[in-house]
Amino acid sequence: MKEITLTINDKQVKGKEGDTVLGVCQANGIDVPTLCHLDGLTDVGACRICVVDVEKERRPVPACAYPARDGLVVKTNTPKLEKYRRLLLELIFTERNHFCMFCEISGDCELQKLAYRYQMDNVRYPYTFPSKSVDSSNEYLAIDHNRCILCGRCVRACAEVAGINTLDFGKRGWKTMVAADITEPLGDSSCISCGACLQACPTGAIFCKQSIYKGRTADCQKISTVCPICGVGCELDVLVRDNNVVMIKAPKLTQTRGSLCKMGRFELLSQTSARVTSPLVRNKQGKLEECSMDTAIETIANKVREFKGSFGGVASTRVPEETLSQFNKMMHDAISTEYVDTLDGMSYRVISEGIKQFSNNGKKMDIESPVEEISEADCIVVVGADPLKTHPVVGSLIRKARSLKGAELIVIDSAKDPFATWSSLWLKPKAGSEGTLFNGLIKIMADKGLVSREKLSAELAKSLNKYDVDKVSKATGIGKEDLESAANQYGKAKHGVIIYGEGLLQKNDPKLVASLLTLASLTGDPSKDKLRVISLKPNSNSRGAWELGLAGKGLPQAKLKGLYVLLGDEQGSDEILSLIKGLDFVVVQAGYQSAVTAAADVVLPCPIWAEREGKFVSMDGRILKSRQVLQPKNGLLEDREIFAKLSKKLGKS
Amino acid sequence: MKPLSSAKELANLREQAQKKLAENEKKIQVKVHLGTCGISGGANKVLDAFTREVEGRRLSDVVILKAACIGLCGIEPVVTVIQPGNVKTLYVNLTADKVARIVADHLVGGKPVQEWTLPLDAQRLKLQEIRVMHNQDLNPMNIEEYIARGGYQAIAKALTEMKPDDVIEEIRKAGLRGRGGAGFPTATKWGFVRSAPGDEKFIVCNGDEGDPGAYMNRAVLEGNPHSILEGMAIGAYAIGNVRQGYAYVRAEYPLAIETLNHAIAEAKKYGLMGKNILGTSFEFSLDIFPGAGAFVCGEETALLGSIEGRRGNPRQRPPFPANKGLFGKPTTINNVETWSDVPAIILNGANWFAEVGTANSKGTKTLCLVGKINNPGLVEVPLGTPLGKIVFDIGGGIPNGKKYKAVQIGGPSGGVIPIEHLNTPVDYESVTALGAIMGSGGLVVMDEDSCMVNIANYFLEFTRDESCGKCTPCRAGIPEMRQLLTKISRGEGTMQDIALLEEMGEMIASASLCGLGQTSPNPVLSTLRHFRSEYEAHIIDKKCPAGVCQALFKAACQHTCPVGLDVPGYVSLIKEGKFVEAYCLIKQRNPFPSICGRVCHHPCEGKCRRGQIEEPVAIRDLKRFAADYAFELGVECLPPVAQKKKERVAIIGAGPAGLSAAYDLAQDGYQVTIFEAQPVAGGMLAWAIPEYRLPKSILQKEVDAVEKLGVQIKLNSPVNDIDSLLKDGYQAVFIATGAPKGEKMGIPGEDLDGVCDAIDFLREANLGREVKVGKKVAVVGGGNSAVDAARVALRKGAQQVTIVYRREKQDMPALKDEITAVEEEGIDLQFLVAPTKVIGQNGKVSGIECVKMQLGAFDKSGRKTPSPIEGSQYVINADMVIKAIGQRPDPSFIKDSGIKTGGGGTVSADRRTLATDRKGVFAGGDVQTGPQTVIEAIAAGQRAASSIKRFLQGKELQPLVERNGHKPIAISSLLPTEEQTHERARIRVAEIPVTERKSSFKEVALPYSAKEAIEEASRCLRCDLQAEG
Repeated sequence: MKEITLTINDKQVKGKEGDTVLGVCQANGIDVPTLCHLDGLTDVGACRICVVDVEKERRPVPACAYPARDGLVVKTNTPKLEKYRRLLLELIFTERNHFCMFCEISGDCELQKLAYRYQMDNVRYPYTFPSKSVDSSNEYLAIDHNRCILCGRCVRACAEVAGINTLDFGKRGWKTMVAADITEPLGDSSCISCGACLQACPTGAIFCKQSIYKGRTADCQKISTVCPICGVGCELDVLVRDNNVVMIKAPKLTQTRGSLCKMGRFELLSQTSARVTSPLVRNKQGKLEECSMDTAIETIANKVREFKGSFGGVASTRVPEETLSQFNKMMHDAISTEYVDTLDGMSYRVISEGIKQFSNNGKKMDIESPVEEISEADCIVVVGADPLKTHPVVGSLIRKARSLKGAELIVIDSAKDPFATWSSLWLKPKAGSEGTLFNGLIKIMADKGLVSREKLSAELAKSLNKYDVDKVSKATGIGKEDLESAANQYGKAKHGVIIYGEGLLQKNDPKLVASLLTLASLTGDPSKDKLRVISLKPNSNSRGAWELGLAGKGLPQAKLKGLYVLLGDEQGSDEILSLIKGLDFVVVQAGYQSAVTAAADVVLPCPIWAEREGKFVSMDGRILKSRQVLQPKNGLLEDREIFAKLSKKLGKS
Repeated sequence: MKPLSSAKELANLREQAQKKLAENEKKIQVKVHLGTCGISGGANKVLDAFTREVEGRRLSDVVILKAACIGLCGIEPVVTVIQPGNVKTLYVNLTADKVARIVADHLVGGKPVQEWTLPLDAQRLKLQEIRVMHNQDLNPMNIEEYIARGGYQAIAKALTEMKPDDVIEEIRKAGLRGRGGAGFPTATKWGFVRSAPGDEKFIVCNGDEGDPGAYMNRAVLEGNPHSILEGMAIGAYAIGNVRQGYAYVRAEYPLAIETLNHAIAEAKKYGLMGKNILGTSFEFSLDIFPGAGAFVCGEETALLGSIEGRRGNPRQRPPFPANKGLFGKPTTINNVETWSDVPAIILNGANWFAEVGTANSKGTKTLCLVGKINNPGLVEVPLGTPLGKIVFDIGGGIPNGKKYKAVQIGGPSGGVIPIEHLNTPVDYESVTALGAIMGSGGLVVMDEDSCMVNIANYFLEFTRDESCGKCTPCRAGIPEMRQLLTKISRGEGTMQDIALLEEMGEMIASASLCGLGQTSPNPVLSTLRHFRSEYEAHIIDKKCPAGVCQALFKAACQHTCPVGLDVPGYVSLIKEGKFVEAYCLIKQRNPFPSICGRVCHHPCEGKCRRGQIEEPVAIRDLKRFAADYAFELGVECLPPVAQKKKERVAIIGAGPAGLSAAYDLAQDGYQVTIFEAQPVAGGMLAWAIPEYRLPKSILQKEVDAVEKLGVQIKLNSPVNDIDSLLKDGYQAVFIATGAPKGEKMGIPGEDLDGVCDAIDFLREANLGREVKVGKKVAVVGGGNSAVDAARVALRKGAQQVTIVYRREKQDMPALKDEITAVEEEGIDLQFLVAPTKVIGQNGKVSGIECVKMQLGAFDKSGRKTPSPIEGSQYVINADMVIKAIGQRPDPSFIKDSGIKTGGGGTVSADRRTLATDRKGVFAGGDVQTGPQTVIEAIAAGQRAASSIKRFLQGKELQPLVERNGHKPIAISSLLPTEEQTHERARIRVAEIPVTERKSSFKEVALPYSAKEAIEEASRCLRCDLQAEG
């Protein structure tokens, strides 16, 4: 970007074209107070605290929303501007009920800081003392309108970060209020509780019920780590005080990657299950009872020996790569079994097989794109996935592409359209007809000339002949018009993105993945070696496990008698329960008690996410480092210590 | 209808359409004007009545047509009848039942019913320049009528003969500026969008007219929709890459939306909208977007947001809509009237447009004239037309003889322009220079009954509610300003509040995001600029001069009375038959009830709420009744007098001010001596007001009452210097010497024998001295002295009396009743005449040469300035000339006393405490203010007494008058009955016959009978109770 020179407060400073005046000031260490500005959000110039004088402008302009130009002459600190700022602060204080000493955020509040800066020891104008309510209907968040300064950061965060547009301003003039879905209580609204608004709020107007009065930011240690839940791989800033997590924040709010979701921001804070505090062994009466670690290890070792050749291991992919690797090593070396997989192994097998089929074993996993592609998209096809539920941050990116950029959104799912009113088209293929649908779409696009000739090999063209529109329509149960419309929307898109997930993978058919990749390959940018396809890998380290070679081999259910289950922070799911059902001996290593630990023969306590550290690989291949944010309780063994004990017992070290 | 595929086809269609119109013109055309105002006034019923009558009579030579609003809003429904040969008659204030007679007399009989017409040469029509509104006589629902008038010829011309740049150049040459508010040059705006990169651009018509009291755009939308369509098509062509336009029309204008929709449909049908317009490759479509009722959506960026489906919030500029507008594309937004101006400029040329207006503000502007104005409605005048011409000549001035105060221009974003600026040309720069804005052209006229604090509060309430709420200054600042204004209007304000208002107003104006916020403090800042004293009156004096701010008073009449007389109280007592109690109640605040009952200029009656129904209660006459009644019974109602104090006070002058001060001081036991130069007490009351208005016996009784409190009045005792009084042991002095000196005319012959001063003449006559009166008397002037002198001269035997006055009758300062009396008594009144020379023979007056005057620009008092018409001199024969052109104080006795004098010979004193620079010396009444009224002199006397008491007690002086306490008198708290509130004329006092009064000094006005008084008193609405309850 071109460098520009401005004169600010009689000094020449450099900036970049495209910057705002505020941006240039900040880059040059010139302090301009702000309230409605927040990095990562669009600037609107609403609060007017940052007004500066610009030569040739008749009135002061907001630095945050004024584009910097070469040669601009700016003054940021004239007595008049400082007077305006103080007056604006007075106004904000008269407008609602700001009683700092009763406010959760006192000490962290941006308004309060400015009031100190401008030495607001009195307010000369009459207070209004409006009667405003507190909306505490949401499970995690509360809005105290008495402390709202109507800066609109939450509203913009909701639109630009969360992509949901739940919050907006209601009414107008002096009666303006931040409102959810115009009139609803937040708890009854379309709010997805992602907490972007909370993080955006400069005052105590929006606060987190779980964090309230647990400590000011200054009292907390901030530790950067990574979210242990889904495959998106969001980075977390965890605020810790006295070995307790006080609050979880995103390092910053951005439009291209988004913020956190409800799971990462709030559910990690509100873990209600009891911890596994001691090793447990099932006694002769069939009840689990506490025992020493040595007893537990001994019990396991005996069974391993007993079931030699029919003992397997399965690991959650919500644990660091180091743990997975040590687990894998133990299974191979000490337990001497090849029967090792991850809990989401099948999904991964389908994806990898699909990629192999598509590229004739030529290309690797990173043929897929990072999630940032979604922000650029003008057409998004969501196949067999519910990102709003499983990967909410991806869900937000999709919604933003639609609401902010007007992208088309096509949902292919035989069961439901997770985007409901947001989608532009919903194709509901009959069960088992997905492949026909994908090939049919390729055929229609080819017929319409919407694919490039050089990419459409003669072989492929020939193989498509059987996908006549009428036949496809009949086979899939989708109307011809919808088929053509989908082909048009995706085929004509300059930046089409395909997203697929569990719904599709559960068909256990790699050909479907291969077809989707083919579809994408015919339209994508030939200069790029990546396809605009994103698979939603279920867990935070699904991909890490893959790269370790741990996942996807599958477990020979019929041959197994014993199984070692390594869990992350998952609650016991039906899938895991069905996996262990009927086995003679089950070891569960887990941090929390659950139905799975209850069904185990031996339970080994291990750290939870906050106590582990290590490497994670996000679903789009970013390598992330998780850090220990809490000290484990005395006596709690780390994963590797448990593995080492068992290995030693089995004669391997 | 096949779409027109060339300019030639359009020309052919025009010919056919003209023929159709010509067919109508052979008949009698009855055009019913069906704008929103007309329809709500009953125009559809009038239309039906005409249809019925004309059909019933089978009048085949009459054609009934629909037309649009022509702006005569106050006198709707309006119908134009056009007889063949273009003979027009304009009927106004029509009702259906008047139609039969019009049909019979006019349509059949050929004789217009004159009493229901507005003459076409009426000033309100004649002084306008109709351009924008030139098609309002057509049927807006018929495109062919528009085409017949040359409609769509301009787009045809642009498409076939002009390049887009030529079009912009033509608009530039015309000097067209945006009609929506700030007056940005239209061609420049178009040029920005034309040169902005992009292959898709938009144009928008801003029809979100939301200023309270402004609806000129509605008239154009309803009446001339095709001019907007055509203007936008021309704009689209000139700007380039514009295929779609939007008309944003507020949803409150259903008829406008209907009309515009119809026009769009017709234009599409005729191939004048859509693809291939007139067979060219030019394409343009227009859609209507109804606004949802937010005032702020008139702001362009908010308007665009609203069309895009977002909340209508303004956004920070840059980027400007010209670069990033609707849906992020380059966009131009112009107001309804601006678009409507475009076709005429292209068709008639830039020069035609620019031939009216001023150097920087070309063309005409439609304005909306509302408020306290005789002719409310729409007017169209060239930009630069003086404000006074619009308000007075076209608008017909202020109803009910009230005094014009100011006009609010530009709605809630605008400001007030006060009376002294009536010559201001109404153009963008001049209006802005006075702290207002042109806005869309709404003019709200305000009279003396408008309180400026209240007006400012009203407009801020509007902007407070209509602010979008986005930026802090506007959202939070306006409510704060309102709180301060409310505080002030309740009398709870401080001077610090004014400073806070100014500080906040300046910040809001500077730091707000959009035009709404930036202009929102204007009503406060401009009223503070022009009417600061009114704010100070609320704060310091706890007075609302206009009698509006209810929290400050019980009843407006009482509040307006300079001495705060309990008017509802004594009127109620009279109604109850308690006449003596009424008199005593008056006397508690006013020592001269019978004098004020006769000669007071009764400002109370001007504020009487009864006057809003029909006429004010005759408060002055009731006061006289009560006083006369008490006199006859010999009741004096003297107040109690406190124990005698040692302090002595000297009062110079035994006029109403001096006597009132003495009356109040004496009650507190102070020893008061009044020094009077003349041989009688009473001042001007005694020697300037003639016997027939104020009998001497009445005056003497009330003066006697003052003496009865222990006041010593020394007659024939002029004071020559203040110091000697102080040396004589007077601790305080009150100068109340009035304004006894006549002003000079400053013309040749003034010193001739037979020329005298009205004030001297009246004094000699009233004191019973012999005066010489000529046979033919000329009186110069228009005030009460002139009128009194003329009437006295008549009674003293003059055969012919002429009053010459240089302005018009309505400008005469004399009391209205007195002017009527003068006319009744046969005195010749000559207006717009000024003396130039007194002509003499042998040193004696033989005549007076006068010149006729014409009225020109407005002066600072809001009256038109007279100037001589050259060569119009004529001579009035006269053997006596009385000059009555004003009086001034004569403060020669204060020289060397260290007391300052002010303009016009006045003595300078603080206007609230009446303290002069000299400690212990106070001055009040005419000597301090210049000539004023009796009641104001009484008030000044009481003010002086209040200050003197505080001074003598060693307290700090204060602006509010402290009054003596009195025993309360019980007053009924019954509200008037329903029947008593019904419309009922005021009971007039009888007068002695004219023939009798011309030769006698008997009192002219006769008193009420008790029955009349009770009946008149029962007209009082008892606002005092309503305000409490």
